[in-house]
Amino acid sequence: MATIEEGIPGQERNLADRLLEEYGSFQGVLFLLPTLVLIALVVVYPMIQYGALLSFKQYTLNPNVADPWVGLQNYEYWLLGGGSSLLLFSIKMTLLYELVVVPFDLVVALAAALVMNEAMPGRPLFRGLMLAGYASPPIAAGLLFGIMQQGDTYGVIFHIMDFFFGIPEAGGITSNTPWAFWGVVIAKVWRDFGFMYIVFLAGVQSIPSSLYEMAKVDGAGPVQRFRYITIPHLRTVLVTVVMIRTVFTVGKLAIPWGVTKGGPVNYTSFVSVLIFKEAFINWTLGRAAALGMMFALVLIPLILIWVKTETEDYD
Amino acid sequence: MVDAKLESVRKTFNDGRVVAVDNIDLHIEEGELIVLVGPSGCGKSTTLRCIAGLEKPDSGTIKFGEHDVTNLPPKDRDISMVFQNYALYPSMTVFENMAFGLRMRGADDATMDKQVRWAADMMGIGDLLDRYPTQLSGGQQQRVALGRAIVREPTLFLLDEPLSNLDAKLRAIMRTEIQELQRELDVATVFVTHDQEEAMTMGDRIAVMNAGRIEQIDTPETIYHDPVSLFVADFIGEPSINFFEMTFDGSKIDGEAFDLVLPDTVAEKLAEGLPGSEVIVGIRPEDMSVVGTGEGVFDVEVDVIEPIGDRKIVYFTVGGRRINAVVSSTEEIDEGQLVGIDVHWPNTHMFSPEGPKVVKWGAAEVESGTTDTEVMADGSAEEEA
Repeated sequence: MATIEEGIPGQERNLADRLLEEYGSFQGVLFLLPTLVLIALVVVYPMIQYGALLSFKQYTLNPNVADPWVGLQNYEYWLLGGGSSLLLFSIKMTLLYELVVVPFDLVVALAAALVMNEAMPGRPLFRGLMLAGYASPPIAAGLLFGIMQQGDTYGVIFHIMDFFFGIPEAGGITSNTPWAFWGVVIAKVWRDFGFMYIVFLAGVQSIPSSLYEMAKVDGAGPVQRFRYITIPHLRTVLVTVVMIRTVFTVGKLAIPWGVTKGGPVNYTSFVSVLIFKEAFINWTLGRAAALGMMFALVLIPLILIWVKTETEDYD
Repeated sequence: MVDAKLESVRKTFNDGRVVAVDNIDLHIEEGELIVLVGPSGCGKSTTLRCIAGLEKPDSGTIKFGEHDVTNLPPKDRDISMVFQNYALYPSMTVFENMAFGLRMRGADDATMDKQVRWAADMMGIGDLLDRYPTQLSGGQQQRVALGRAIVREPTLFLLDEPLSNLDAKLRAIMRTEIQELQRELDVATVFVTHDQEEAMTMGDRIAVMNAGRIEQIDTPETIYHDPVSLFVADFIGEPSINFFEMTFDGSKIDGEAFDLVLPDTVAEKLAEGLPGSEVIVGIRPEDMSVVGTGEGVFDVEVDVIEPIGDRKIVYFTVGGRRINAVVSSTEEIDEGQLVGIDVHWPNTHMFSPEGPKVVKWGAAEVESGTTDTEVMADGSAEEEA
């Protein structure tokens, strides 16, 4: 990197300037150091100590006894032993969850954004209200939806769904299969659609109205205008947002836990829920850690793909 | 070939608080290019949008030929529009952009191909058909927008300030191209602009609009030589007309720079039409000439001189107002020099302070046959030696 000092002949370069030139890029590391230390303490250390290392031990509740090393026993449990059928089922349900929640989320968010783009009295209020879900703590949302989905306590959602589908009152939505799954999906979409919504709203607002007017003059009806103008305009944003949601939905457990606690009988125990149950309900933290490590290993390639395709290198 | 008629069209916004179009009547003849011109907010774009069907008038009717289209949506009116920002569909190629209107009307591939290629050839964009709008320059985008408008061979063209986003040179080129295009296709066209020069050069007729009303509809020549109100006189003409606030006592006009005894014919007409004693005298810069001190109507000190190629604009101050005269560039005048200003009176317009014109000097004289001076079509006069 050429410096001004170099170009000016006869100028003396003092020690400070020379040091800066030699080790200038090191400055960057110095700026990052505080954050790196923090991340190391809060993320890296627990990951190693209570993730990787713990997965090879058998956790005991007694703090005075050191956790015994059991090698790959925890992994064996999940992959070959008693937990393997549960794990398989959980993976299946997790994938289903992803495949259902993301499109559902997309449709609701897009619809909300389109509606909120129209002129209406009190629009700013409604636009803000759409985000209320996203601003709420997910566990609170989960618990409330769980309550609303009960049959015997006049749960609103239960009664609406019951009207269309007929659901056993005993246990309501949350304790009956397959309704429990949908109960979680509904809660999840309600809580999370605000993210996609706000991105779509921004996208939709940036479409010049003259495009729609031209389309009207050309003879396009509302569906055609949506198809030929709105969707193409949102295309890049749509892909990005779907990728983000997919990656970030898979590890969350607050909503499923709040609504059904993973039930009925593991029906909604997605992999993240399973880890939580194993750790803090069964207190077999070793197994939970093993599952967590495997989960992370699967996720890493996904995240790498996302980083590669969505981020830019600044030279 | 269709004509269009607007009758008592009124459009307001904000629950009637903003009157955008104030009961206007407009008849667009078959095959004519009519320009709606006026300052921002005068209602010209709103009027155009009412014709297009993008706005629904509060009252009044719009007819295309014999059909009442007032309540029809844009797609049923068989019109084409070009917007100021072209509004090309960014996700489609030029071909698809131009074919869109046909496709929405259920045309088959062969028809679309034929029409699009014909329009593209006409606009000279045949080699751009596979490109996307973002890959085109402003001028090219504009041609695509025009091509898209002509492809369906509509009965009415509506152009909303289509040249405003172009640089000056391109604007001049496109002006002639649009005129040629319009003449060849022989389609009634409504052209909206705020640029009075554009209006003057392009229109078969011009409608000068102000605050939702049409102040005057006439040919460009008539509007220039015979504006019916202060507003029209001020708006049309570059550099702007000069106004002198004067008083009239029955035979003489009196003002800060000069006073003048009017010929009887002019004085009579003025007395008839002027409501009070105040009159605003309008003299175009081209009708003022620079002469020696004492030789003209009044003497004045030159403030600024602006050379513009073959002419010069000479600025000076009269009664606190900036007045300008346009002279040939060969005249030798310096800033700060004291000069005399002479006026070619037959082209002088006299207005009531409220706006309407009362009399044009030359017209009054011609009417009564008392003048030997011929007022030519371009406003210049040939004096008999």
